[in-house]
Amino acid sequence: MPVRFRFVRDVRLDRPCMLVGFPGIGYVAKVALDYLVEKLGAEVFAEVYSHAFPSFVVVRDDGVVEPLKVELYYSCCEGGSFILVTGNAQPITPEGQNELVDAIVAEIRGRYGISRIFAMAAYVVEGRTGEPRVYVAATDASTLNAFAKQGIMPMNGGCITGANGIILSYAKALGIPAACLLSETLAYTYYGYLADVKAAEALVKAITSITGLSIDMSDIEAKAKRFEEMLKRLKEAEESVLRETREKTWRRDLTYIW
Amino acid sequence: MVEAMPKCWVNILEKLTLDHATAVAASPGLRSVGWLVLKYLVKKLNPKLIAKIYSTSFPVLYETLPSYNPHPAASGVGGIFVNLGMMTEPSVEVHLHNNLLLVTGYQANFHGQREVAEETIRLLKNMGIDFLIALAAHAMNEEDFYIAATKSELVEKYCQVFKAKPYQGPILGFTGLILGEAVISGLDGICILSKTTPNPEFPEHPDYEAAKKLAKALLTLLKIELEPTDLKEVTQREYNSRVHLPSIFPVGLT
Repeated sequence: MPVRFRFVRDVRLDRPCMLVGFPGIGYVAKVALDYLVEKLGAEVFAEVYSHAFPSFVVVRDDGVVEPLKVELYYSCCEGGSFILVTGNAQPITPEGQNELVDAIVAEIRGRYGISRIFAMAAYVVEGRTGEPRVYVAATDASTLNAFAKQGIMPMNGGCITGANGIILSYAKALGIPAACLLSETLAYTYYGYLADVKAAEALVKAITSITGLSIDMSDIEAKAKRFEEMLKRLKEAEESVLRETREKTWRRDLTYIW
Repeated sequence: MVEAMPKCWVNILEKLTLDHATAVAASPGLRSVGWLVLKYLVKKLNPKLIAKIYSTSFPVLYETLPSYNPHPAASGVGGIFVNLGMMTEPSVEVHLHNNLLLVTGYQANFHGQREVAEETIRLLKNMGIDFLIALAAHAMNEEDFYIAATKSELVEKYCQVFKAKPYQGPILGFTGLILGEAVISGLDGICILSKTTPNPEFPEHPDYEAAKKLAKALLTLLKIELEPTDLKEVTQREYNSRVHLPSIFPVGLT
């Protein structure tokens, strides 16, 4: 399952930090990464295509065909140089996911070196009260401790599915310090109904605190607020349907009492 | 030592370089609309077969429906086709008619589909194609035609030509993937999607009326004088010779 690169711009970077957010559960990682791209003014320098992407192309609302791809962005700012990795799809087989991650890490490492890798992902929970908690899984104790100092709890048990998790194994094998940050998302988003901006906001906060990046948070905060309001209405509607169903069932059950 | 068979390979029957040529491509897809139009053109225009693309990932029997939405765990069954004692391999066929290439696509399984799309676009570009017209169907119950294209200017232009609206959503299988490859390789192209009614039980069951409408619109665009009134008669046998369901094994299956 080959992976192809198309470099659209020649860039020079010195051991950048990689920030990774492939689309996954609740689009949490992708929303967070897209926000970082926007606020850092990051620019695309390469596209990556995998043979293990799903069997379709996307046509945007203006009718223009967009192939499935991963995009590599770069940004140089006060916090250092960064490569941001996201896309509109993930390969759908474990082999394809591994090959894609392997190729991206090898290509970037070969060209520029890599100082650290921070991936992002979602952590599905049944219920969420207040701010989403953020957990971390790291390749080494020193990286894990750095996050602990920021108040980020270590993930304890479970797994991180897809490329956002797999990239840690390639980083570890190459001796690159790496971590994956996971933000609590609700089971709603797991079924692909909603993009959880609230969970994404928590990831952006965590990433900026660990990397020292300074970005304007107002847009994602406003979007997260709207998302919470919409989620509240959705829950109310769901509870109302459940209540009606229970009532109907209760009335029907009454007929059996004698 | 026996050399391993390549995964996807091209057999060029006639080497040629065209000048600003157009390719029309379709594959078995939603209600077979695009595929029927392609088969009709191949039958009626009597074009010359100039190339075939083969892949070790072309099944003759599919394990999942529809064939254009393959699953990685269902590779299908490999094999050959036999007609009147003569064998043929499953393949993508490229025919030449004047300055027009007719590309009859074939749905590979998940593992070979993107390689086939890449080879197809590479071959067409090497032959001198600078415009691709892909044919497909939509089930949105609104406009007769929708347009998708590799560039927004093309969407605008061909929406006017076909009195269509811009399409939004996925395009699956061979047709979608060659359009994606066209974008990646810088080849201009459009996809005309003709209105059909979905048939969830048999997604590829032919819609001859939708195909007729699409054929008429395409023939007008290409300035080919041909009235597709006999499309059903011409293409029915072609469609029936295809094997559609894993449960329906053709007579003589070994």
